[in-house]
Amino acid sequence: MFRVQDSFGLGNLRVLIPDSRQWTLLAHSLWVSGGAALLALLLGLPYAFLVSRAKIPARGLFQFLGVLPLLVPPLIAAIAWTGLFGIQGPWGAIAVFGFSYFPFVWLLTARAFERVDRRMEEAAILAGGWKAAARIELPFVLPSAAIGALLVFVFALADFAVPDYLSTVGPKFSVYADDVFFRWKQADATGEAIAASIPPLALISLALFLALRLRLRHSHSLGTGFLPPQPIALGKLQVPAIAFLTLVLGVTLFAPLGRLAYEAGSFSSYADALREARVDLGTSILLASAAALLATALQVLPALRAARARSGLGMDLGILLPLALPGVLISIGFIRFWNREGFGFDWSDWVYGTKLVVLLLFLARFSAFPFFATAEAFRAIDPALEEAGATAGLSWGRRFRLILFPLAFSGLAAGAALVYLFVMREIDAVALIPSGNRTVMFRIYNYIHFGRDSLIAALCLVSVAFGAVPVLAASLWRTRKGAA
Amino acid sequence: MRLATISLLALVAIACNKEPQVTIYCSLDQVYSEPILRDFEKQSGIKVNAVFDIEANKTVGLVRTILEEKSRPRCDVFWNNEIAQTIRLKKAGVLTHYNSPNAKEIPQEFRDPEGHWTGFAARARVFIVNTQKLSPEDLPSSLLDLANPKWSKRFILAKPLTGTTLTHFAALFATWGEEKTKQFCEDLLRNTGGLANGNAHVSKLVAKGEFAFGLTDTDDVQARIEEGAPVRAVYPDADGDGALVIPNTVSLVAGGPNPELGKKLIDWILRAETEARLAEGGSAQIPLRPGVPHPARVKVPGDFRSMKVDWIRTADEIDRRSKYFQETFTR
Repeated sequence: MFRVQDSFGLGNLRVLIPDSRQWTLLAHSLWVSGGAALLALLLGLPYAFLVSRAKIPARGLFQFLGVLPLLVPPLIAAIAWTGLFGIQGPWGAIAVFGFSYFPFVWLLTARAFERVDRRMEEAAILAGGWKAAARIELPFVLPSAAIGALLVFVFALADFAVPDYLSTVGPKFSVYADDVFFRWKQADATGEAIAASIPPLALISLALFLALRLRLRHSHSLGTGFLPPQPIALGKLQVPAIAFLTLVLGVTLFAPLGRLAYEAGSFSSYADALREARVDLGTSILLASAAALLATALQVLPALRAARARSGLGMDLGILLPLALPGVLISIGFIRFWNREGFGFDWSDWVYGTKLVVLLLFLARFSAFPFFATAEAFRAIDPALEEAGATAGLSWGRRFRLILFPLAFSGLAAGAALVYLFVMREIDAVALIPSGNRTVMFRIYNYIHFGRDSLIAALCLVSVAFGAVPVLAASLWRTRKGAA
Repeated sequence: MRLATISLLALVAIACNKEPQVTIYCSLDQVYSEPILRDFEKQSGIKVNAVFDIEANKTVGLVRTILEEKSRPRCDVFWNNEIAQTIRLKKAGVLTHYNSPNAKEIPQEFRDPEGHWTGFAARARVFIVNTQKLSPEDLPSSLLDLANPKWSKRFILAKPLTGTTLTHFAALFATWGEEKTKQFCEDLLRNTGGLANGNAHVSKLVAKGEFAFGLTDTDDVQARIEEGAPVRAVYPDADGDGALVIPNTVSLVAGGPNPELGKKLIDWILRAETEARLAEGGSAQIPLRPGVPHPARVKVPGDFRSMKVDWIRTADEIDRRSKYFQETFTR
């Protein structure tokens, strides 16, 4: 994919020669990304416990709202936070990334908490109280939290815009993504940009490899006799627990959204934003819906195969890597791959020059979400159920329709919702593709360049509202299912 | 699954729309450029496929896309909001010549002798001054004031890594020479209160009073004035080199799909009415033709001293100095 016609040669690797700048880039990148992962872990772990295990009022609401920080692109959050408190520097970047991506930690950890078997927990409590239960459950839950933190690390490492934006006052701190962007913007330095991507890609690959290893080692099916854990009554701790959840949401969601609402000002900003960007909003929603449904449909069989094989680290890594690649590299790869003739067909007219190339790019970038969510759901199904269906004479198709699909539906829906949500906020990978020009996020970033604060804020809030629809639907579905 | 199919069919239907059209890549603010392009559609009946640029790309995104598409160009016309990157594209061989009949009245210094680009509607590089922080008697007057300890930590400018600030600093190398410009950069770095990531950001920080003044573009000053901020523009070096004037440029892309439609669009953009409209609009662009009507708030060359620049050398300096700027301003 990343065939470089004019400027790539081994000579470009000279940009990797260790010097003080390379060490500085490494130190800054690890500082910001590692700090963000730690912060997300500190927020996400207790949040996950409280919304998945504790007996608290409005638990479904906290679950729904806890996903929404993912809908606010980190640069928009950085602008909001700078407007609120003038945050700057690496600590500011750590805060923005930690707040924006903490849902990764709590979502994965909550899923692990929900899969603690009630009987195992009750036996542990009988044997040694809650301390014994914690000793048994933490090794079960912490790997999921670690996977979430590694994802935060990866997303923070690939981001160029936030560290750049937060270096305005005080000393500039450069990170790897900064270096890649600088080399990319030079007309003749695409090869250098690709060479400069090697260290962050190595770090990203290492982090993803560790996450996948943890996932493989700790995933298991629930078994037919699985009993979900009982909600834990917090007693006197309920009020502090709710205060903690509210504080986390206040910091990660309400503060940036509140600032945006303040910036948007009057209703006329929303009317102006919708008038100017309604076509872009419609395109985004159409692309997000199509990408979510197609990516999910296309990943069902690979996910089932992966769940049954219980290995395939290389395939997992391959499907996860596009999610974390610097967007610029994906853009260049797609331009060079699709803007040409081949096999007697003009791909540039029929694919590159149309929205189809954008859809393909989204499928490539975000298929990891439905793949892993669906594989996880399939993996949790006791093979004995399918075997029983086979014994009863059901064809594979009917077994899939009657047994596997209904039981894995929550995983499919979660994967589709994540694709929808990430397409709605994607900008980096489509920024260079002309057909990707008319999306709502593109319009927002166009406004950012020219400092149109009220329209930026209004359109962001509109975009968050439309992005929240599938999350709200999934949340309501979970609540209804829980009630049933 | 049914919804997925419908969505896919809708996208294919969009993809199959084969109406003849002209494609323009445009880095001027969409809010100001889009109405001009839509009026061309109405007047000519030719559909315009307009692609705009964004902050994440620091205005070099379209330049890079044009270069990446060099083997199979998808774009007919490039409307750049500055000039140096256009000259770099000419050097890369991706532009072709077209002398629009509507460009005749534009001064020669803003036209490529070989017809690969034509300048129009410009911005000037000026100081944005917070009038609550500085009195009229005590204002910076020269670019060299950025290196003067008197103003230490009281001003801000954007990093000269992209956009008009990069063009400005490259023009200094082309005009002042290496020794003087490097010394200026070193002194400025010691003196500045901050390095913003864009000119809009500079103007906002000055408008908020976080800095007494900053170096930015006239359109950013105008935007803050319209928001009611206590700021004004000061055109530097009235007794010296003058303020740098950076025009928009429009060019025909070599090998574009519809060159004849592209020429019609260029003719439309280069009308005097476009300059008047951009002067009237929120970005207060400076008309380059003599005699174009403009509001009093828009100063044109003659109202202030403008800097004489060799644009070809300036574009060369961008290539030559990019790494120096990166290493110096992102230490």
